[in-house]
Amino acid sequence: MRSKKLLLTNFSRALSSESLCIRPEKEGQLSDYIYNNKINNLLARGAGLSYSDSCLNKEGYIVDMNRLNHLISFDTNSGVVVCQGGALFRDLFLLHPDYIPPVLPGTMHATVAGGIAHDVHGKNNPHAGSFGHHIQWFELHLNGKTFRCSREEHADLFHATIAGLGLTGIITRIAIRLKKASRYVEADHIPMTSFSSLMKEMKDTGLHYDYQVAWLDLLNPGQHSLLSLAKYGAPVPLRKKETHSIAKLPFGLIKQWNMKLFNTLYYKIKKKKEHLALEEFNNPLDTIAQWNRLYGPKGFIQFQAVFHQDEAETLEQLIALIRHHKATPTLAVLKLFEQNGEGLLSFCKPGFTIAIDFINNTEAKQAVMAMNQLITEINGRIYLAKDILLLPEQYQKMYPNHQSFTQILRNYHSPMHSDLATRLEIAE
Amino acid sequence: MTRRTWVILGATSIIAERFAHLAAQAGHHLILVGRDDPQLMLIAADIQLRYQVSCTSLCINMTEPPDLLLDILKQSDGESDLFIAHSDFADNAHLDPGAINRLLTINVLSTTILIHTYLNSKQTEHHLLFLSSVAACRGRAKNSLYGGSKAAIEIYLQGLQQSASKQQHITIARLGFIDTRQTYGVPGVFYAASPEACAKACWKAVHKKKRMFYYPFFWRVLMAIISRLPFFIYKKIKA
Repeated sequence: MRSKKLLLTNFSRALSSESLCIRPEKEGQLSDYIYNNKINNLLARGAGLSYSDSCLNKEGYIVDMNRLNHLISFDTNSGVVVCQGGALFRDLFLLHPDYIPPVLPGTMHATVAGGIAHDVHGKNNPHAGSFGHHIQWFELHLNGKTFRCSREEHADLFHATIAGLGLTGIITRIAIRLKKASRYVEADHIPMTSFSSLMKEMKDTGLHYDYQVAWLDLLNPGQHSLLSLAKYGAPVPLRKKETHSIAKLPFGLIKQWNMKLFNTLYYKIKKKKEHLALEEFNNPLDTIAQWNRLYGPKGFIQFQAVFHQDEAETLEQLIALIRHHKATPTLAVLKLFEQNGEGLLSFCKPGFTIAIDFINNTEAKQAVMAMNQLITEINGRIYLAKDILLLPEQYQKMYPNHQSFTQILRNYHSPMHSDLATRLEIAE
Repeated sequence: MTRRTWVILGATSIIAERFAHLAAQAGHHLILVGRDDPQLMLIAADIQLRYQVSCTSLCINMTEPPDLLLDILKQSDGESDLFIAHSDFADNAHLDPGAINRLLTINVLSTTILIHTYLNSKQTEHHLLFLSSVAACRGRAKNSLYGGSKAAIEIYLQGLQQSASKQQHITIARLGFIDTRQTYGVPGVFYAASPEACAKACWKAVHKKKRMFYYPFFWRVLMAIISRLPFFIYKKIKA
């Protein structure tokens, strides 16, 4: 197997770093290569869709896992699928018409191993928890050995690998329990005019629905938002899938003035009721391939935090910080969590979680740093799959299991490494 | 095309695997042939799970007379199509009598026998796609034996195309750089097309009953120039 130097970016295209890449096509090649070359600065990369630097490894090795993407078996009675780590969430829909992935991240193009490494969540955390909850076992390749990890076997590695940011080893095979449910939803989109009433509604009415998410307009004055509530429904004839692809642009198309206009229109013209495929409801942006290029060569940055303390007030404080620093929040989404994640570094914990995209500029960075500090002070948590600006002390304060995690990396002499691990001083 | 069985030779290569996906998606049955049994079984299980079609695997070493495979191609209880992707890639620099024997056996001898058997099987329709290479256009210092073996099959197929009945469709795909394990990390590979797109082009060519096509397309222009270069200039390129 040959290697090649590649300049890789994270999904938001705000960061890039050069690594020596290898791309195994069989699991055996992976272990042979690592063993023969005695590599100790290694990171597995799936679809490269994390917004943070967890998918980058400057001057180290990157293992491109995209060709280890086979579905291996599926048990129609239990709903348990075994697949390779590079399989995509989208692929899990092909197995059986009655089963769906129990937790769906914001894109179906992410790999399932990436889903474990960031313990991804969906719009149904109160009912389904996060992705890690549905993992039966996985095989982890670490230092020439393959560990089968589950809640019973190598439980320490199991809990460290879920949300372990790829730092515990390379996930090669995974068993996931799928959910028996319809792949269509009936959705209501309710316009709201105040964020505090939105949050109240999410806690009251929203919990009776299978999925809920709110879109917030943070650009225009006023507190406009749309609360989307969805329940599983009967099948509908699928609309012809139209996919568009964005070319590489030398400039950004997303500006404050056009997003303001978009937000105003979107709030007004969004249909109040829809009956659609779960995929269309959950992943509207998946129909535009490489939509991240809309932000131009500098990309964008995303902030995502979960907080439990004085929720409505915290949201207002966050918005005040954005306005104070004159950052441009182009897209904001609010969700509700009720369940903790199972991994040592899982992001999910009860509270509201807000994700905000910003045009990448100095103002946005300053705003995000100020918001990171606020979230640290109120015992909230920043999502490591999204963040590029958190400091080691802040990380340690918001992730109470950080020491146990680092200890496990030490115990197993993990050779894994990433730019995120360097920045947050997680790996030595 | 009605439901047929695609026999995929060299099925563990990524282009063949992607082509198998397209055939399965269209509802065809598949027989995957290759020499890496665990990988073949993995790919077969994957295709069955994704597309709910029958997909079996057959582990065969192409240097040995593939009787079992010939029987499959001769079988009269169903109609089959043939996708030929298996190949030995030995460079001129790595040739010795053993390697030469191996390359010619796999790329020429066994391929010819398989093509001959397949086209003589009693079927109402034949569809055959052969993955050739732009290396077959002009002998290159790096890999002229490999290029020559591809050219041999191309010339054989051209004759068969001339004599083919209306129900026999033979397609030759001349491939440039595709993003496979053979091109990954190789210096000088300026643009490698995705195997998915390549498989799609093959699928389209089979349906359009094309005799020959280049993929990526620009290689047609490039090879038209390269094959017409005066030798004294060609000698200086030497790549």
